[in-house]
Amino acid sequence: MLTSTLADSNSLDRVITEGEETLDDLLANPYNYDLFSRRPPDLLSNVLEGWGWRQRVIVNRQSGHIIDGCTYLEGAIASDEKVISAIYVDLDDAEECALIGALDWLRIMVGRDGPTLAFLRQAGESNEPLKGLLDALDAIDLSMEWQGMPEFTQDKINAWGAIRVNFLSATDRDGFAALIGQTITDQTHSIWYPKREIDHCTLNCYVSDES
Amino acid sequence: MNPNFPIYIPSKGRWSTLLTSHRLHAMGVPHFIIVEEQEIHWYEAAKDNSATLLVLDRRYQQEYDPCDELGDSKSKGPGPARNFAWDHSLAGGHSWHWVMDDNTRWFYRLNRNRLASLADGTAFRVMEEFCQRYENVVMAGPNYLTFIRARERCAPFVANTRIYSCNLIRNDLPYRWRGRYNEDTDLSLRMLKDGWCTIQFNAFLQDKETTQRIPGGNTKEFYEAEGTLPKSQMIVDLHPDVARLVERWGRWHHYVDYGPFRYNRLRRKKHMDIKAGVDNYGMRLVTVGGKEADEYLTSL
Repeated sequence: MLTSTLADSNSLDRVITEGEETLDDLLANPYNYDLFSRRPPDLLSNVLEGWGWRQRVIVNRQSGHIIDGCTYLEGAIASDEKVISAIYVDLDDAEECALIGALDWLRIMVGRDGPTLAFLRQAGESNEPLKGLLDALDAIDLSMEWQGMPEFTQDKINAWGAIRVNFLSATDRDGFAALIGQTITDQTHSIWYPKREIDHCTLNCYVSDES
Repeated sequence: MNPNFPIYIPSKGRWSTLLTSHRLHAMGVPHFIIVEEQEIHWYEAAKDNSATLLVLDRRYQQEYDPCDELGDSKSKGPGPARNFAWDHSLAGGHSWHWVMDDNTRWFYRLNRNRLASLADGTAFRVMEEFCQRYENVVMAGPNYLTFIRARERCAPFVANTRIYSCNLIRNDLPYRWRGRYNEDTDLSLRMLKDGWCTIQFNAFLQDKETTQRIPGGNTKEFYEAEGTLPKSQMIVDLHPDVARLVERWGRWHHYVDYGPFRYNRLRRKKHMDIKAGVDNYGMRLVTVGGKEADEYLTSL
């Protein structure tokens, strides 16, 4: 049941209409991993009770599938509503799958052997942004597999800023080193201030209690 | 804590350096060195107590598939000794084995953007137990130190790529080493093409002496005379679907695309009881030269 048309007025040019959708007409999305049964029964009503059902679901008009808003849909069904506000988009299968991936990566992670991820991976072969998303998911995936293993915390260390300091002589350089309390040699390319223990720590080693 | 599975180091002409063996000895890790009969007395004199020598059965050299037509006119590389190790491990009733190059200087752990050396064999046990969580992981090993930047973000491991120089291998497989060169790449690719998974650890790293920098091994036989072209050409010939020849910095290299194997999904064994959170297996960081490290080293 469409009640208005956005078409040219919306900056998201794939959003074509908005309106109200009869719940009976909505199709569950086969790519969207079903978490409903895993959610504690009272969680939804407790969290969303004060919000009402104003949030719109996103529906792909080509397929009739729900793209986003399953939580609200579930709440509407539980509240015995007959219709729900909807935004309609016009997407082919690959686009629909990509949008689900972008909006709901956690569900994909939980169902990572499911059809959504397989479809996304295929689509990602020729789509750089999607490939980037999948790479990020893979990294998270691998870290999740590392449960029960030795600590591994490895983030990118970025300097807040860097400046180039010029010395007229070795004496000046040594004076600067003394001033900041660090060793600077002919081989030194850069330093951190304050000094940080990163990279190769020749003064540390790992020993084991059981050895 | 020591590894559960036996470690083998094929070695040739390097009794005077024996880097990997000396390192494992310093870590208190027992291991085998596989040598050719004519060199055994040199190795006997040079080896540490942690090392046990095994003489390579010549049949493994005679029956080895070098993947070329040169026969015995050139060295067949470490492949025959690696196959010998595989069978020796099977005969000992083991389900996995380690095989390592003989020119590894150090093993490291990476964590919190720090690289610190490993003073014992706990990391090998960790890698073994991690692999045994999965029903379809067949080969694993630490990444090269030179491929990791401690200031960059990375995952604790990467799945489905080449495992080289320090290989933990599942024994109950029909594969065996082959090829005169790049056996690691070839074995990895054959496994991956069959849908198995490999695991390259970034949490643990190996620091190898550059292949052509120390004498012995394959240096004299291969690289001094012919350069790197035959080495790279062989892997391209064996796997033209994913490998190609490239010239970089005046030398020939092979480039292998492991992309097609990224979708070999890790499958956990059923009923695996995996604890959430961190288990450091008792490993802790100490300062070398500090009291705790001195006490530890004295106790070895």
